[in-house]
Amino acid sequence: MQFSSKGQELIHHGLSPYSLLGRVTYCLLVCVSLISASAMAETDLTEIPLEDLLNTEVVTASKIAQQVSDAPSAVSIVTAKDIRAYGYRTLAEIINSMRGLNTVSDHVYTYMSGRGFGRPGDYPGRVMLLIDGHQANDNLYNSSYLGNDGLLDTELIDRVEYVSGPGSVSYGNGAFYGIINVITKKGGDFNSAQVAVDAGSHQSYKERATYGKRFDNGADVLFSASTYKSQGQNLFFPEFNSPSTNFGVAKNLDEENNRRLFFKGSFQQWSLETAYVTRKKDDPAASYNADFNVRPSDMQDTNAYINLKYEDDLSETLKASVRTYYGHYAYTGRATYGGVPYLENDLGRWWGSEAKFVYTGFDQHRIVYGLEYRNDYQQDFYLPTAHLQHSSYMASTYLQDEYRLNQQLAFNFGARADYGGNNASNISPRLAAIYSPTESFDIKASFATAFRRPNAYEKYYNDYATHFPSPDLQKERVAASELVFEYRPDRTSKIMSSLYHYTTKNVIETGGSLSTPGIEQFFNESNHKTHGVDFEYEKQWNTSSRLRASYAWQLAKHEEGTWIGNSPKHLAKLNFTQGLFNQNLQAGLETQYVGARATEQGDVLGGYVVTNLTLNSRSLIPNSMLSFSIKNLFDKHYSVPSPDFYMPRSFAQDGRIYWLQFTYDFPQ
Amino acid sequence: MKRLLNMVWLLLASLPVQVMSSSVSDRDMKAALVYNFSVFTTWPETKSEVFKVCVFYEDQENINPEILESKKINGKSVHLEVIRDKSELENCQVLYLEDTRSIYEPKFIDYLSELSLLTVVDTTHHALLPGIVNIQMENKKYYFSINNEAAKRSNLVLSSKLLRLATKVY
Repeated sequence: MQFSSKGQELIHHGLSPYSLLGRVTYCLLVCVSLISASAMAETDLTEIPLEDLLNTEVVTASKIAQQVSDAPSAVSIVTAKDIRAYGYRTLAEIINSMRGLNTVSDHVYTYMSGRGFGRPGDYPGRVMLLIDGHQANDNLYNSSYLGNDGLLDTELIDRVEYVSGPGSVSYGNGAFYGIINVITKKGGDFNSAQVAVDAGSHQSYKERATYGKRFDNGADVLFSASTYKSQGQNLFFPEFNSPSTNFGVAKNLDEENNRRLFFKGSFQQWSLETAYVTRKKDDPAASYNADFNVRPSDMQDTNAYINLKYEDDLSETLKASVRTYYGHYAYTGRATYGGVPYLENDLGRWWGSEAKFVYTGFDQHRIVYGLEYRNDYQQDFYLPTAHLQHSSYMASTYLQDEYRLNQQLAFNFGARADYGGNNASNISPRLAAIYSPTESFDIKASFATAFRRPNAYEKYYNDYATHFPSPDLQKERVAASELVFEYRPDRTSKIMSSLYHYTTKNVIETGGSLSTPGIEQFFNESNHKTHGVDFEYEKQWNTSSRLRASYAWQLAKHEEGTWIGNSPKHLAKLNFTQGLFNQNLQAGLETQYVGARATEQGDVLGGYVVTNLTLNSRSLIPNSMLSFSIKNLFDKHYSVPSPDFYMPRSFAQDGRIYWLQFTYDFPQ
Repeated sequence: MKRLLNMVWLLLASLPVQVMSSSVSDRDMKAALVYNFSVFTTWPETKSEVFKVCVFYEDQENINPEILESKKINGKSVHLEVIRDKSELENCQVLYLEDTRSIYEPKFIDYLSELSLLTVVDTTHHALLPGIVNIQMENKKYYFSINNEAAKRSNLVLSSKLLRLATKVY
């Protein structure tokens, strides 16, 4: 600033910066500026008068995101900035970028794997999905719905935190190997109306309208609606390559469409959140031996929840929150078996209430106490051959204490007791110590257990022909020891590593040694032993240059020593984003390596590397953002293990995909 | 062509100026602003021997403790204390807030007003003005507004210089 005014003065006096003298003078001025600027950096800022301080330019802080969850575990974070920079359109894409996590698709559903467990076709997975603290899994299959069947448009997500390790001490049933905690944006984050239109490969289109506002009285509302439609591809499955099955090509059988609604409002102590999604997807690969390349062959999943919460301070040291929720899940599946149409309708409904108290009255303690009751009053399967109606409940209580002995040492211990009748009751303790030898270095050691009760599908599903129930299934249990190192050399970087050993008992599976050929039935098949180590490095140079890299090594085996299916030993991720052309364009490049893994039948599929590139700009058109993504940039052909209810043993995944998004913010 | 080359030369030469001249980091600036606001504020008498500037855990990286802790305010050594709960606020003279999510809770803000606590809030990224001093960045520079009514309720006296430099006093 100083120089430019002096420079103009020089030009005015005939000393053009283009002349030799001008150059020399300019050079001198540059040097003077440099010296004065360096001096500025060394000046004691508190000595500068406030008036001058307010006139001093500031370099905007760039810092890595900090975790919201206070779990004594390793936490990876993806923020709204990352979602935009890397063009994430589904939760599965977000999860794929995270340390040690991976997803596979069977062309209908997406299955997540973490901590060495990721059995394709295993609907519940072992990582719980929470949306703003509300468990978003359905109550029949306990699926998380990570693709276009998921409850949220990624544009509404403020951050996603992956907390690795058992979380039953806080969340009870199903928080088995970790928690994915999705935190949505507030109305104030938009403070206007926004519309977006997307177009992508395979004739895919999406439209979204969002309105968010924070009012002067503190009320905050967010409303969003979207639709998605994709024509899909004519997929080829070599296993069906015969004249009677169209030479293996499922023609026009990859169509997908969804509709989503989301509302969130808060005023004073009250908050209300509701989400709805319905998604219909063709099943091109003819699951459960259905007729191949015959319409209809589709599945429709509808998920919805409403969560009402009241938070208040009962006293200076006691904070309370009470919430009550209702959830709804419906499924319709259509297929053809030997020319005979098949129709299945499933319906799940549940409600629950939770009261949670945080007490800080005792010095250096933070005590959390909670009570929860959940009633899954409808868990129904309506099959052509049977109407199966069931229900279940769970009453829970938990107590945790975070005891900070001094600045260096803190302990976190607690337990949750869940009671849901036979094979669904458990006590889940956790003990953890956090040692911080310096402010920038933490060592966290923990021991925790978790459980998962068999879900309604695993226990009761019965078509009297190919799938039989297992009402006596036992709960799964895991005991985990974990050591986490976290080092933050400065506010712009973080290095994290975790070392763990898990023992899982009574794993519920189909298709194992206890099964009868051609018959699907669930058993407490085996015990697993898993150990591994992972590393993550995060660095933010400035607001537009960020790097996140992770590597995970894991070995998951059956007790008898065999490698479990779809459990890659190596997973590596690299995410880099950089502002270009004076920050007018942002490029996000990500590369993911997934090591070799075995199929359900024991064949080994080779590892693969997938690279995605996204470019986005906020300055090409006023009030707008333009984003262009190329997923699988190098058109890598790779396959993933398929669920055992499909004839093909592996499924080829999508090749190169293009995606264009235009977002417009209405001026406030 | 020569003119073009000269322009390129000029542009290149000016680059380091741009980089170096903005060498005041955001967290240094916030520490300096908090120091200034504190110097121009009078608190009711306390027996405490240190002057405590408090930040919640989430905000600890947003402000540079070294700048503050080398100083004296009202003749007392300054200590920047990282806290985890509002019950620890009682001995604090200043609270700096930025990323702490409680900013959105009216009850929390009401609680703060019951203490003799100078609240300095960076409101650059939110619409509320919950602090006694609310700072905001625009075009790389900070300005601030003052809620003097709230200051009075908290038994704090802000100097006329501070009120004069504020873009808005209400």
